[in-house]
Amino acid sequence: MRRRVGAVLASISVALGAVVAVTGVMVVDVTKADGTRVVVPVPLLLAQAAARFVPPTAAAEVERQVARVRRYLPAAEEALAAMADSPDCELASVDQGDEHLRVHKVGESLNIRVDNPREKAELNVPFDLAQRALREARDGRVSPPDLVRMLRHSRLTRLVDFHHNGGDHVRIKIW
Amino acid sequence: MNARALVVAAFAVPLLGGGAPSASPSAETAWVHVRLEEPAKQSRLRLNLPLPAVEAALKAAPDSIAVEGGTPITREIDLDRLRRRWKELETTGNAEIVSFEEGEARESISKMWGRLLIHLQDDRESKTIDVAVPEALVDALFSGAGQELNIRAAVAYLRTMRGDVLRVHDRGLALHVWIDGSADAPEGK
Repeated sequence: MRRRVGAVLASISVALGAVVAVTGVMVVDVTKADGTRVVVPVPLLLAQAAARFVPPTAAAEVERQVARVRRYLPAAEEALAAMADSPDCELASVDQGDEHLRVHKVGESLNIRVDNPREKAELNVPFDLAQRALREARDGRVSPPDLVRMLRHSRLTRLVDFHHNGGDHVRIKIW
Repeated sequence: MNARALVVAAFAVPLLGGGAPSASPSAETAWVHVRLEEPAKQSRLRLNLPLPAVEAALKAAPDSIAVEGGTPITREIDLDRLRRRWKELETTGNAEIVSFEEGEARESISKMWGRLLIHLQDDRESKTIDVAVPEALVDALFSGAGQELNIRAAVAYLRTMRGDVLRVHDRGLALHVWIDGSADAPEGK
């Protein structure tokens, strides 16, 4: 009997693990200014469910912003596709005093870096993710859960790396 | 970032796209390079974009732009008159098309070394602006009628051109837009 219960529990754990592995995990890694490190793995499935509870006002704001630019989305999709097909390169660089912005095409992603005396931020946006987001936005299907769901297509990506000078260092990876 | 600098770039960029079908990128893809520098403000903008991306992004741009009430470069000549003068000079070499002086302000448009040159100078404001546009691009822009600049034709021409598209020199600002076959533009070009 005990062996059967053990087998059932083990199979449930394996099944849950498999679901999480298939649907992806977002790992939020925060290093506080005092050196304290907190690593929180969040299954994307759970994050997607949690996103359903985003206040309607926030969801409406997302929809309002998308509606404003909807007619430009097909052009943006096409522009992204052209950039995705180009070789790796620096696409944009803006310097103003000690503030710097760099946008590179690196492999399958757009790498965006912002650097100023107060903070350093790095964002990696897979073209596939951006194109899916634009496509769904064009079709009027963008909502917070949809946005989280799309992260499933960004596996093995260091999505965000944000370092506030003298403060917290936040990294978000998708596994 | 500097709003004025970005506005100047925004005016330059419509020359680079709008309404035309984009070609699929390949080894032969043309690259649009934009350099905008304002040394006094320690401000610098560099863009290196595949032409198909620029064309696609600017599909929302109109096929033509109406320039009513005289050209922005000089109120003394409207676009249609400028176009006719430009066509009259088709077979001639260097020539001044129009010049205008009022007090300490001097404005001139000329055809020089295969380019349309616009010179605006206002000594009261310590302001000098020089704009140079290749002759073939001007022909394309002027291929419309009346007071309209033909943006679609200009874009079609850009697909085949390599070299300088636009140079603007203000006292504290330099804008250079050019097209070549390389994603990496040499520093300081």
